[in-house]
Amino acid sequence: MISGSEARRIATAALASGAADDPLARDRGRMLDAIDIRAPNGTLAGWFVPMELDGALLGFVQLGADGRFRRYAALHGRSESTATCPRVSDWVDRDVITDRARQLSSAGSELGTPVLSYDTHPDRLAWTVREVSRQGASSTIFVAGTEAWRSSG
Amino acid sequence: MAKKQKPSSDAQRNTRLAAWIELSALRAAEVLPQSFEKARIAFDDGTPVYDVNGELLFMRVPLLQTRNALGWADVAVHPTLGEPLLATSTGAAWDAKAFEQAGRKAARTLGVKEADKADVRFVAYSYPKVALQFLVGRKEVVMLELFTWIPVPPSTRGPRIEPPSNFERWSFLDEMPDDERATRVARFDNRLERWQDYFRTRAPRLDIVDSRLLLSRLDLLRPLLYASRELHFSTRNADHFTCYEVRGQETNVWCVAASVQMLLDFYRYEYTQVRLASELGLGTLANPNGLPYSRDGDVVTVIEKMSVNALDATMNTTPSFSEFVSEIDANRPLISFVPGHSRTVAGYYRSFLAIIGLPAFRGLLVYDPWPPNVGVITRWENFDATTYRRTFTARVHRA
Repeated sequence: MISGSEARRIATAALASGAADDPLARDRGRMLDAIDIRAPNGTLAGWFVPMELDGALLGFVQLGADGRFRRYAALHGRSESTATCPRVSDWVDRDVITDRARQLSSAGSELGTPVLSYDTHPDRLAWTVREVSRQGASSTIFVAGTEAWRSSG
Repeated sequence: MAKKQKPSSDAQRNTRLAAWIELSALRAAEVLPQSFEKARIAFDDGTPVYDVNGELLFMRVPLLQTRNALGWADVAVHPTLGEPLLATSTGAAWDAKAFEQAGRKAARTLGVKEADKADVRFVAYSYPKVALQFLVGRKEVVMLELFTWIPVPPSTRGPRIEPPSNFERWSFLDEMPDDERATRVARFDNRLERWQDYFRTRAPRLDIVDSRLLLSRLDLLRPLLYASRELHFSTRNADHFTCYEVRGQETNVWCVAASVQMLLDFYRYEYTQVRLASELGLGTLANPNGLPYSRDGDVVTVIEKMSVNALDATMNTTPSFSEFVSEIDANRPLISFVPGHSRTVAGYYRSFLAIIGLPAFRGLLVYDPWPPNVGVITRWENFDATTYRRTFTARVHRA
């Protein structure tokens, strides 16, 4: 298992080597702190290392828990513009994520701290927010960018 | 038991050539820092490292800048290692004579009578861990782990079913399964042939790391270093590209519908995702559901139906990297199922170089419909870090 700083180092090397093949991110992007990805059972499942430019999320490097390079995913497509990119705050700001989950939550329920996880498969990254209703029933709300939905499980 | 092989002088020259190319490429990629530019690869000062069974495995070769030691490179001699350049180490000097002296001293301290007169050789007692083996005649008197000088116990391994424990000696060559040995030897020979053909009449100085020389021939070398293709307008690589678009899935469970949409769009069969979801039995926007595993074959049915049978679709239950390569070379996208998700593949990348002991990189260009209503273009997905469940391909039906 690796640390967040080690994840950033590996992500930097991936951008330099071309395994993370995004010249826009490499030349103009700013690498943000790595965020740990948790499996549904809470164990470390990997690292999400975002690349930001002018407040937009350009893409991200995804690593396994052992630091193995998994993929680089670009959100700007093939364009040199960030116009179609999501806001980086939608993906890294826990307050923004909590607010999005709140829109789906029941009145009076309490929301936990968002945790970056995934829906079914690690390629389907989504923040999970635990909701506890007034009656004490617990459920999960997924948030992925501007989309939010309730877990069916 | 492995057959004993002696490298010919040609094979030795070719291995040195491959090591030169790979070290210069690491320098060109800045994996090795600037201080390694024009470093001397001191092949003639290399230290042979043997397998426990007595066969020569690799040479540990010092990398020097004038008189300063920069590190070392492990250059394969035995083809079973699979790669010419096994590992590089930077920041620490390799001084075989000094290690031998320290080893003899440690052996004397342990009371080994023949510590000074024994022949000493370096052995990969538990590859890649190295020890010094003290021999009188052909008989071992002691084996000491390098640096710790702890005696390595004699082998007590019976049938090779269990993996070796942490401090146990074992033969890398003798314990290699036959099929894996064959794969590794083929890979090794193939790599050497590739370099040898190109440099037959234009040999560089093999003992100097030279990234500029490598880069100056990069256009010609490129096919030797990597292969890559993504979808074009046609199979002609001179045609414009890229003729493919990502479609975000419109609900959190419509990855299959989005993937089918991307593939049909490529072939100019344009449908809304809602329509395709309906055809696949995935419900509505308000009440969506995913495709159960038992109905994977519906993807084939829908592709053919929605193209009015102009497309012949196929499902493959054992996807391989070579399938992705052959389909993309034929300019055909694939739908790729991983456990719990569906995406499409529109390109591949394959590097022929190993980077610091890791296998050469194989990557896929993935058009992924997740996150919902956004999607990402993944360049590259590490093929060797991913499990692939199914692929779906489509060909234009020919009368």
